[in-house]
Amino acid sequence: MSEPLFEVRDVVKRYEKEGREITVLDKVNLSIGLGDFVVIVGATGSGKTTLINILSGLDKPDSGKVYFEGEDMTRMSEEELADLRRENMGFVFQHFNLIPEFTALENVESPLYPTKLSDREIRTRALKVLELVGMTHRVNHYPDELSGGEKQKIAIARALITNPVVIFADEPTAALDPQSEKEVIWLLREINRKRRTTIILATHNRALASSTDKVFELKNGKLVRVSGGRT
Amino acid sequence: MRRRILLTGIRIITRAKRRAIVFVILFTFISGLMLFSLNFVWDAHSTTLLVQSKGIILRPKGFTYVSYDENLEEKLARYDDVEKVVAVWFVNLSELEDLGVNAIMVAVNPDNKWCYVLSESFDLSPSSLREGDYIAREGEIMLSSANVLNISKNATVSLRPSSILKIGKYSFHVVGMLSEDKLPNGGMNWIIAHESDVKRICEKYGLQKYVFGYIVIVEGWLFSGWDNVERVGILLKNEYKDFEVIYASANDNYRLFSPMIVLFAFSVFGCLIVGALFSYLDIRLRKRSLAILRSLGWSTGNLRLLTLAELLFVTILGFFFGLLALAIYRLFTAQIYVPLSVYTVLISFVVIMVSTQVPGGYLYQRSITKVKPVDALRLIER
Ligand SMILES: Nc1ncnc2c1ncn2[C@@H]1O[C@H](COP(=O)(O)OP(=O)(O)O)[C@@H](O)[C@H]1O
Ligand SMILES: [Mg+2]
Repeated sequence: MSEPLFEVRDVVKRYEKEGREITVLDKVNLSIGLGDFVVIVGATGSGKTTLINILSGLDKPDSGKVYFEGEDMTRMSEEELADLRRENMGFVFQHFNLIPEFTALENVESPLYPTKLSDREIRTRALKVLELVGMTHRVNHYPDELSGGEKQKIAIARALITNPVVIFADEPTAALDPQSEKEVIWLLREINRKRRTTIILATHNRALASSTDKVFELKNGKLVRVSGGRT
Repeated sequence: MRRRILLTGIRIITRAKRRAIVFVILFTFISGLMLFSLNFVWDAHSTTLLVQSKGIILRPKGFTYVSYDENLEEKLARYDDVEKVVAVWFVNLSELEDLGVNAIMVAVNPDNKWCYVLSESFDLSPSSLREGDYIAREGEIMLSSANVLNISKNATVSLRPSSILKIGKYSFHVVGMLSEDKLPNGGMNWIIAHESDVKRICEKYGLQKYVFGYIVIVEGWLFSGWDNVERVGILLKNEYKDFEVIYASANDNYRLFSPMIVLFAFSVFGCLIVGALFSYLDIRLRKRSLAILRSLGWSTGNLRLLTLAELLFVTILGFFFGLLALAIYRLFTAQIYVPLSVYTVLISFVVIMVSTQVPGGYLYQRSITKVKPVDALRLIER
């Protein structure tokens, strides 16, 4: 078996809350391979976002180690982590986090603006991922003019434009109607299947997981493996 | 890449229409104020204000005029700290009955036109123009608006701009009329002509040259010139007792310019305030977007560039409109204004750019670098 994409060892994360300390992640262990579709389920406040932030290097654990492609993320500088994120990771959020001043197309292109790529190349790539998510007909609309499901598809296209190896989707469907929810999850699976992009999906809705996924549950700071899928 | 980010900044500020318009208007007002104030302080070099602030006037005591003394002119020019000496001289055409013109012909050099002001009631500078243009070349003349020229023993004629006046074999184009109360009265007719024309006529007919006075311009930039004026002025006062020596003290000059300096300071202050306000609002209103971009991998430098582009766009546009507003204001108020020099425009531009960026830059620096991506995202999630 090849080296895993993520390797999490005994990660502990505590927060100070109203004067007392709570342990959000209590010695969490996790291994994620390239091309996995990982679902992390847990009630609101169970620590899903905290775990994702630690996996993506946005936050650091109080103790324990996180390895990305064998490299120890807990020892990297903020700058190194920022580069790592930009080159390897895509993000999809519950509240879409589209930039209201940008059109759909510009939103998708925006991660590439501060790169050396030419305008034309950026445009070509954006149109390609917009086609993948089926949103080519809405490119010149502003986020305000789009439905929740459409916004999330634009957000997925934006996460894809950098060709990431992993996409973090933190409650991507919590603000959506059931139909859009289905479409978004289907889209994530398509991306996982077609591009072998690792998907890490955090949700409170256990029903979103399918039999082929690697499913984990966060409860009282502990991460428990629920079902295994392929590995 | 920089270009792309700058363009993106411009694009998003133009999409925030109301804010863009309000700030462009504010910057138009401030730029106009700054140009207006600097115009007087800096461009005084090319105006009558220069004579008031850096000039010393020698006027014959007890007489309106005396014979022109070229040695005196040369001597004045040799003093230290003296930049230029201009004699305000003329010939009296009625001394030559053959010509049949009863007028005084004053020699003026268009390059020194700002210099021809000897007193409140003797001002041949452009600010005395009532209509038409100031002479620009040989063959052009200006008249007093009260002129009635005798053309023979019992016929007179009054000329207007675009009339032609022939003196002997020379013909002159009337291009402008000077206000009569800016010329000494006494029933005299006035022809203000190019220096070389007057010289030619003077030599041709052997006329006597007279002088109304000498204007001595002191060296040095405005503010250093003010002190030199007093030194040279006192020297001349002791040396030339036959002349009345008139000059403004440094104190007078500070008083003359202080309103403009206050106005300038006010506009700089305005830039600081409006620049800070713009940046403050920009950060407040774009906090979410900046946080998202940060989480998408934009560096703080990239974000700074983006917000800088927004500020640059409104200030540059405001400056442009400020210039335009000043031009329009001048067009609709029928006065003669000090021309705007390239320096005034450049200096105003630089001062505005710097003074708006400074507080903005500081605020951006503090806010954008302060926002860590995690906090940014948590902030958004709420
Ligand atoms: N920066 C923080 N400061 C204090 N407490 C925090 C902070 N971030 C998260 N928490 C707490 O940690 C717990 C887990 O939060 P989170 O990871 O957002 O859960 P989830 O995403 O599963 O809803 C919650 O109780 C939350 O209040
Ligand atoms: Mg969460």
